[in-house]
Amino acid sequence: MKVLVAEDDPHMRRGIEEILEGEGYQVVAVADGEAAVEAYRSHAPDFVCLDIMMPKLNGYDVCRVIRRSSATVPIMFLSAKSEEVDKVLGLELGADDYVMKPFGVKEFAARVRAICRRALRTAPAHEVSQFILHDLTVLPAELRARRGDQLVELSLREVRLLRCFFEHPGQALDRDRLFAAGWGHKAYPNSRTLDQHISKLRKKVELDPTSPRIIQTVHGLGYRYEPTGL
Amino acid sequence: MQRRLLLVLALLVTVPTLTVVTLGWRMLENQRRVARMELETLLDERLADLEQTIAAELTRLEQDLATELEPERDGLLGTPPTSAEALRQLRRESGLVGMAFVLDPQGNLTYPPAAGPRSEDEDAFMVRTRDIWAGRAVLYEPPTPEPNVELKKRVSRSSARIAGDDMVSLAVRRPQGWIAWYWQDGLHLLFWRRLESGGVIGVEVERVVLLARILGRLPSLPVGEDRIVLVDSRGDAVHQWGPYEVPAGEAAVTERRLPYPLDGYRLAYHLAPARGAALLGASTPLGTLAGLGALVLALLGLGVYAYRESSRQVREAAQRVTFVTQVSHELKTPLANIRLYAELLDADLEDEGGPRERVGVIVSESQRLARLIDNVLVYAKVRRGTHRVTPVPMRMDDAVGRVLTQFGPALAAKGIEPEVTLGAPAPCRADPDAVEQILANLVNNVEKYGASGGVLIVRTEQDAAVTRVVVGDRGPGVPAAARARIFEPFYRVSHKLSDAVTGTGIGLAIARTLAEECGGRLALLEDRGPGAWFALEVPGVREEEA
Repeated sequence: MKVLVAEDDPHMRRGIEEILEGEGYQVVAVADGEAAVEAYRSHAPDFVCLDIMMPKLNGYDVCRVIRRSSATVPIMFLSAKSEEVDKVLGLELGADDYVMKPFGVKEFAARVRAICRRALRTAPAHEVSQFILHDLTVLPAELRARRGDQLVELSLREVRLLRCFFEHPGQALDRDRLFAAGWGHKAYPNSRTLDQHISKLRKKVELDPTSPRIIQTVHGLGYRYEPTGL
Repeated sequence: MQRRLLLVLALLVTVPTLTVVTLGWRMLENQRRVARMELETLLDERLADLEQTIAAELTRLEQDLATELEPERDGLLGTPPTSAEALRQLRRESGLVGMAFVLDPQGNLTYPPAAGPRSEDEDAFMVRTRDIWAGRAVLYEPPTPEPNVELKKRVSRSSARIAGDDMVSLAVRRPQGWIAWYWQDGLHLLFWRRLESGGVIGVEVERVVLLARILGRLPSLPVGEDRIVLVDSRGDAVHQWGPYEVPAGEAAVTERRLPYPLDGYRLAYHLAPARGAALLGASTPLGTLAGLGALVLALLGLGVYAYRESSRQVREAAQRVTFVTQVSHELKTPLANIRLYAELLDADLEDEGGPRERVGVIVSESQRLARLIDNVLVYAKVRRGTHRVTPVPMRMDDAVGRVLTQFGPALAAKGIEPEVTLGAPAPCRADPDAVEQILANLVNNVEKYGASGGVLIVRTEQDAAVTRVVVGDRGPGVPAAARARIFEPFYRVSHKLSDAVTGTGIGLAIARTLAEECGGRLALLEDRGPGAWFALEVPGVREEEA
């Protein structure tokens, strides 16, 4: 999934980019309203995140322009000024959500996931609706997994990683393979990033993260899903 | 606010101004009246002098006439000139004396003869005086002088009327006297004297000669530019002094009757307008007017100053609020980056403890700062009247969860254990941001003031109409004396630095305002035993939203 981020403050822009990339999105980040409109046309993102106070064209105007060509692409406003995020105006313009600065990483990620979930639900269902890893049922379109009556929130990247394990049961998957699945072909993060992600994912999906059963470590190579691990 | 201030100021200026103007006007009127009375008195005194001169001349005339009618005259020893011949002689000799007459003791006219040959003059005289002889005339005698009679202007020395009397009986009481009567061209005068025999002798006084004598005696008057007019009994001017041409119909400033028997005549004083203005103007209180004007101007000036001053203060207050709002907004951007990067850093750190705890402090403190800024912003907006909430269907339990997550590290650091009972999973109707801000302020108070109790109690409950959140602690609670005031802005239970508790004093005030704006209420619960207990209530969802 591709996300367009328009934010004039460079640190904020970089931070948002990092969160979204961490969630597994492909991010296009721009610094002003005109560039946002241009990027929207050239990249056709699945989701747009707009600051309101921006040079050249403000977030409201960018929202209007985008809504003229697409009535469905999810749009989220970001602002430090509560006056600017006029909830009524936001709704009239067709925004899906707004986030007040300052915000927490988890809060932001949760909001993005919520919007993404709605987008996935309305998108053509070429993905499998669910797959099972041991006692865990993964719901890709929900960005969630279920164990009994317990729900686990997952990021897009985590869903992709779990899907890769599911599609290659019993195979030792090396880092390149997992990178390609989780980060796409272009990105090449260092191996520590992958390890961190697997560690976080284990905390979410394993009953006991210290002795993992779904995602097992293959020393010197990578990781493996053992379907008969029970 | 501005309109009410204007109204008060307008009243403050208008009422004293009107009072001053009214009082000043009345004072001026009074002064003008006094000045006019003083002027009248002054002029009247001049006329009185004139009148006295005339009275003295009349007395002299009376003596002269009495002498003319003395018995010794013409050598008629002991006999007054009662014969027709003697009387005609008298008339010829004296320019003052006109026709003469004699009455016998019974009051019968012996001269001019009632019957027999009479000259033309004697006939005319009889015609002129027939009312007197027929007893139809009203006879007057001079008034007895009264004390202070001079002060009674215009009526002084008026003669008294003698009713039903004749000249003979008048002569019994007085040796001599005047008779005045009106005939055709005006006042005519008779002078009479009692005879030894009991009869009366009298002469008609030539009016023109009499006036000439009187006027001749009058001094040259210091009239200046004014005019004094001697007016006869018909209202015609007989003589006038001074250059001022009196316009027709102008009333005299003051008038005075001449003494008996010329009391049908009067002296009228006309003041030249220029001199009148000067005399009255001299007493016109220019100083008073200027003083009043200055007072009114000062009041107006004061009003304008007060208005400008207060509107300047209002403007400055508005500028301060705008400034605070601007600064608060500017603070948000760096704060957002601090929090964002602290959390990203937290995600990079692998192990619990040490560095992660420190990053946690940065995150939690940046959240505290964000709450402070939100309070200031909401307060500024409430003050400006621009604060709006947007109530929508929301879950109270979710809001409580979010706030407790936010406060987790801070409560843990103070050793406060949350005891949470959630019982409001169904939607209620409120502004989620406002509800979180209210709850954050309540929990923040527990963190600051109730830490000694070691526990934060949060309970939610709901029915169809109301969703309720109770937030309490087991700390010292709110002192009874402070309970009525804790929702007032800037009120703080303790200002003592030694209490080591900081705060802006607007948290509860804002919380209550927000609750009311959401259509709910926020109250202090007073019957919950130890600790401070607050209850937030918001309405349930509307039927169409349910």
